[in-house]
Amino acid sequence: MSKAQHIIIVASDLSGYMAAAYLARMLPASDYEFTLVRAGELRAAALFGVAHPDLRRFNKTLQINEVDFITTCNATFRLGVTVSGFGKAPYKRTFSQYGVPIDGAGFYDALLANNHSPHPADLEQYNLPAAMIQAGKFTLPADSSKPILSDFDYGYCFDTRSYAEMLCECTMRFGVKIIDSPSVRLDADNTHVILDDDRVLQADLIVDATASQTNVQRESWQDQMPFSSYTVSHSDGGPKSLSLAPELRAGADIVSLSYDLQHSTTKVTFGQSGDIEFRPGRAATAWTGNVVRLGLSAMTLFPVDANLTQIAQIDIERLVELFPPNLSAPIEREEYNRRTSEFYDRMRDFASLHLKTARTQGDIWDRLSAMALPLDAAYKLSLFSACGRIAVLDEESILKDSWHAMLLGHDIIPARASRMAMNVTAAQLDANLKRLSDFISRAVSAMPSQEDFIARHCPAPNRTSR
Amino acid sequence: MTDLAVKKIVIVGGGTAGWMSAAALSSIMGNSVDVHLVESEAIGTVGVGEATIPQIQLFNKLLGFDENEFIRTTQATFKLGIEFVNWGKIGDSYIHPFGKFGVDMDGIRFHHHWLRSRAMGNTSPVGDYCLQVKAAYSQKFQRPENIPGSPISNIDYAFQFDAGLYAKFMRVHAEKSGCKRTEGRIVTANQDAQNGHVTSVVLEDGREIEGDFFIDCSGFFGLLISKALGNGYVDWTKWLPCDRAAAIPCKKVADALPYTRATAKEAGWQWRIPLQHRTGNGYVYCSKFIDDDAALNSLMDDIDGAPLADPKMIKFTTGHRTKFWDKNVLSLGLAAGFMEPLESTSIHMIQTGLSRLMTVFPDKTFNDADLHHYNAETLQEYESVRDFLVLHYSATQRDDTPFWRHCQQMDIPDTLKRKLEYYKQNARIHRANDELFTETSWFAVMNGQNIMPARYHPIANQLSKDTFMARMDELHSVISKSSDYMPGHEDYIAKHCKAQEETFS
Ligand SMILES: Cc1cc2nc3c(=O)[nH]c(=O)nc-3n(C[C@H](O)[C@H](O)[C@H](O)COP(=O)(O)OP(=O)(O)OC[C@H]3O[C@@H](n4cnc5c(N)ncnc54)[C@H](O)[C@@H]3O)c2cc1C
Repeated sequence: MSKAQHIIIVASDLSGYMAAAYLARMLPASDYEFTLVRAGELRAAALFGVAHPDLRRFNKTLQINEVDFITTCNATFRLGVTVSGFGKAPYKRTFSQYGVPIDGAGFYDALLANNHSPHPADLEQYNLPAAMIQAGKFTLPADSSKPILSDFDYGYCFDTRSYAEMLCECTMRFGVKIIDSPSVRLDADNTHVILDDDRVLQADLIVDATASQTNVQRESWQDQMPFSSYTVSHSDGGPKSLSLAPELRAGADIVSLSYDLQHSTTKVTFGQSGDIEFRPGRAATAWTGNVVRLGLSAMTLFPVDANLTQIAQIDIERLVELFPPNLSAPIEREEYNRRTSEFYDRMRDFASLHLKTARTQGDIWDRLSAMALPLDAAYKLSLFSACGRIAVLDEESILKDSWHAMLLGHDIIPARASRMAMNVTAAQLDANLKRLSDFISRAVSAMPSQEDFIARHCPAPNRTSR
Repeated sequence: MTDLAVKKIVIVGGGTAGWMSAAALSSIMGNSVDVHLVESEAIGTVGVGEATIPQIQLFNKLLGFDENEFIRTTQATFKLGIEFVNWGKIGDSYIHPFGKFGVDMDGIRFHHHWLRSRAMGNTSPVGDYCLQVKAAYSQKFQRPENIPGSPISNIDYAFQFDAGLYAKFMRVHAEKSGCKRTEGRIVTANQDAQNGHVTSVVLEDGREIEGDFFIDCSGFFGLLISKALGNGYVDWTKWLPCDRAAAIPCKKVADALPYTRATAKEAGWQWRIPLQHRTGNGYVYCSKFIDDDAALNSLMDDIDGAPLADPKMIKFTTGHRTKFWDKNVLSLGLAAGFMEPLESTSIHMIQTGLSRLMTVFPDKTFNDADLHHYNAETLQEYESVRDFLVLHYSATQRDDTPFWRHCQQMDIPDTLKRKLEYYKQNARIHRANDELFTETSWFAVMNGQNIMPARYHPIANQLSKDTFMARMDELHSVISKSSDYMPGHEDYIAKHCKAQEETFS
């Protein structure tokens, strides 16, 4: 490697800022040069403002201190998502499992075998983070291996713009050159970036995070996710009590996602007549020639799992993992594309099943419930309906527990429980449930409220954010 | 819901597969089903199959075995990996260990770092960075010990045991958990006229044994899965040409090594499996390139102690049933398929079959979704193991015999081609679907058989030269020191799990 290779990241949504910081942190400065082109105002900021626990790993690698992150980004803690209007009752999906195995049998199997409701709305006292969300209480997971108390995980709701600024500071520390150029074009053979002022930059690799899928061959998911636009509203000042989980709520012809930051609340409403266009689907191939697409330029997913930031992160980590030593016609490209498409399609499966199995009233929902599922999603549904197993496919990142909670929460009840559960008696089950809920309710009552926790450890200055 | 429940499971065959199934099902499913096993002394078992991989510990744990008792009863020794001799070229040897090389740094695999160090002039083989390899060659062993940060806290191991004693051990356990056993030769199976499900098996003396669900562990015969249900067999001989084995136990002449050895020979390879009381040997060969007498002579030339029994001659066809599970018959062990024991995978695949069965345990409707799930996952497992085995033959530089020339020219599966190409260019190891063999395993064999990638991961250049070399040196010395700290393999056995006396099966 005689001459340094030049990587240009064109950023219009958060994924570009994340990519610039991460690539520059991981790849040796002796061999690579980086340029971050900030292409205009941050797009889709509200959609990226909800993070899975993975973001903590990401920040750690970038040496972003957690308290700095929270106070700078007006962030709150996130323990899962509350899902309303999709099933017979609102339920929660958290980043940890419901219940504990009983006598070798899975928790849900033991419930089913004893005719106990497996609906997650009826099980909140058996899932620590669900009980914490309910009570508005928060503390960090215990660090030594204490059962249950150390087994849950958390992410954040945060202000995307502030985070993008933090990432810019990182990139500068890692030697990245930053250029502002509200509009950006690529030349015909995708090896040069043409800036606003007609300057031309040569690149060995271009990371396209322009949040646009024009001029790309794509697969549309509009049938499975028939919401074509969205509207964002913010209210400043912040709510009196801060929620520990964004709420996903289905209405007759809309779905909304709302979440609290320390001093504001954001609500994104998806429907047919919003301000901002929304076209679910993915690029047929994420990496073509010298251009790798990330974030919304690679795929637009209806965010039932509120995971766009997580998706961008996983894509970036995959890119680094597969980063080719020689950038011309790399053998890794095909593998990157294979894994990325699989990964996206698993997300699509989850979202399409989530929408199709909703029990919401309305035209859109009637159409959705008649919609044909992608094959893999149909297989998952039939296996679960038969015996309660989740088929985990290649590149799946949705937690098994999320699948369980979603399907059971939408009243898909398996026809039979595992035979391992046949030995679990009603008395045994009741005793286990009681012990667990006593333990959890005691643990939760000893925790501070999220507001108190934040006030003590990581209060954000009260300034108005967007 | 309950009236559809499977009440009676009949296991056909009492070899390793049959008794493992009986032990697992009767102890896990408790009183909710009857487990009944039928076997024929007259037909007997294959009786080989003595080397395992670490996952067997899970099986032992699940069934609540005391490991030391298990070792004593089966005359077992510990296994840290497999040594491959003469595979790349005559005179080569390397160990495929049950543990990682070095430590991953900056989020990428150690082998990229080792390749960088090689490019900088490091001459230490990669095995010097792996505790299992170092300990194996020094005949050391211990179970992991909680020393934070030390590789000793992370020693993965498997066992080498007496196959006959192992089946007996399983049998005792199964019968304790309520499994019934019937001795007798099965002559036919009755099937439901409408859906073709097997309803009962009929013995030579006319006795009939009914069941809801049948597990076919009848070995190469495939009594139910093939003879009764007519499932075909997918032949993989074009990729794995060996089709016979000659096996013979011999007297132990030296301390038992904590590893299995597989030595490539003129028309196949020979295993050497050291147990507490004897040494197992066998020559797996291709009948197209050597006849049985010559193979037997070659086997006898290369054993290091006096023979303890007559040699056993075994014929096989590498491949698998078109369906592993069809209707109400699930096949396990040799009845399901066979691949040569080069990486000791057969017993493991019985075990994964069982655990897969437990997760989709059927009711009497024998739902298509369950069967499909089981068959698809099993096929994937077979194919990934197959590719790994084919690698050993195709990545050879030997051209000293017609057999090896054939291997060099042999067509290989596309999935393997892709893997090789991927490694050769940039040292990438492509691991799909959580396959059994990890990056470590693929690297061990590809590197051990002299495939040199053109480049390595760019992140390996992250550390400055001096810091990097200092780290590599430190890793090297940690491994040496850890190996020195460990007790000898025989000493460890003597202290913890020595078999009482020699028991011959
Ligand atoms: C050469 C060789 C080396 C091997 N080495 C290893 C190794 O190192 N590691 C490893 O994991 N695996 C190894 N294996 C595989 C391992 O031996 C088998 O997976 C294991 O023994 C399981 O065999 P089985 O129980 O399926 O069949 P068998 O042992 O053949 O048992 C078949 C059973 O079915 C019964 N039966 C058959 N027909 C009838 C009938 N008509 N009526 C009643 N009963 C009947 C028989 O009596 C017997 O009990 C090796 C195999 C071979 C061939």
